[in-house]
Amino acid sequence: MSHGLTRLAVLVAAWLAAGSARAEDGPSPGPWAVEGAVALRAATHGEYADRLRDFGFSWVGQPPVQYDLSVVRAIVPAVHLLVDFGSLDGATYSRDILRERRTEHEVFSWTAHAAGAHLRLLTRFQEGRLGLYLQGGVGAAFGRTIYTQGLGDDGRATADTRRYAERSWARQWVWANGVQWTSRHGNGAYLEVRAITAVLFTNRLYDRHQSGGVRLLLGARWAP
Amino acid sequence: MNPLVESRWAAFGLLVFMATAGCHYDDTITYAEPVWCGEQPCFWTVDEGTVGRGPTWHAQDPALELVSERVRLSRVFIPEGDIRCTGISLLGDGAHEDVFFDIDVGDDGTVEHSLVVVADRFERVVLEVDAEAFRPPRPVRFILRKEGPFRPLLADIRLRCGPLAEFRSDPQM
Repeated sequence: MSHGLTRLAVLVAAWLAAGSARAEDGPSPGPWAVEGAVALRAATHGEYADRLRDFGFSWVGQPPVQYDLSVVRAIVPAVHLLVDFGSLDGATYSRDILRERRTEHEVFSWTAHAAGAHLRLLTRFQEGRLGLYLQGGVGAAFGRTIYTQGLGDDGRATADTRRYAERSWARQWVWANGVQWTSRHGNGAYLEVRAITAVLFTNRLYDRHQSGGVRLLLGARWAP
Repeated sequence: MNPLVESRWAAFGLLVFMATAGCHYDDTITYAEPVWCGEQPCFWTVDEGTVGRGPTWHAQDPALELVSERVRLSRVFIPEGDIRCTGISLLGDGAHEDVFFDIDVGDDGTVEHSLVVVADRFERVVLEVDAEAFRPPRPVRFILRKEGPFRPLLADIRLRCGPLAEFRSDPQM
């Protein structure tokens, strides 16, 4: 265990030294930047969604992309602190039931967002224009489920429509690897693979839903 | 509501459902019903014993919990045209050979078919008999019955219905 920590510390120190040395040769943008990205992730699976299917629900859809926004502060050239906010998850399921001589439509959906603080270790190449980074962070994920009963068979609300919302939150962990290209002024773009752990929703049968997972972020960076 | 009148409405609802939901008459269809309507089980009459609301995936979609040692629920179908309801499918939890699904063809008090319900952790089971058992058209009483100390949960109870002439089984439904 102590060997592992020592090795990790040496690696981080080497990374910082290399990053700082390279950064001195490259552009010297200001300490602040704003980053925005769209995130692509695979469709939702798992026991939570499977249970919905068991109870007759069918998958309707989910947001095609998620978004992510960060405010970045360079502590030293190779170490950046990020305050991050973004959408995490969302899906909609529906089913039809027959109630008192008419078909009713029911919809169950959820949305989730997350906010947190990340630390980024950056090393630069090609005169500082190209950067590779490792990033880790912790934060809070928060979301809500909405179960709507009594919709008309066309999906519209009726006098009998009932809506039940539940909110929840959970701790989230983030681990990311990315590559960024920056101009002399610090503007640029980045591509990142981000893994998130955030078990946000649990149903009454203790089926848990992982709102995180692995996603691909394609973003732009602006340094004022 | 009178069970016979209720069953006519149920059959009418089934026809409407098939017409509006895009279902084809050449398929056996299942359609979901709510388990609870207010304080009473929907469509099913409690003939004996006590039932309660049991937990499922969501608090607003409760299961039917067979509470007392002896429980009996039933409902009657009056055939409409060629449509027959030959059974049900349901999600069961904790049903260990003490729950039965009986079919009284003719609704004369004689149970012609009795099927054992064995299901745990809300797995789906299909309980039905051959459609030929419902020829010629007669009223049919479906009975859910429990005899034992356990308190099984039944959820997402779906009727299995279709046209007698073109009936086919689809255990996935």
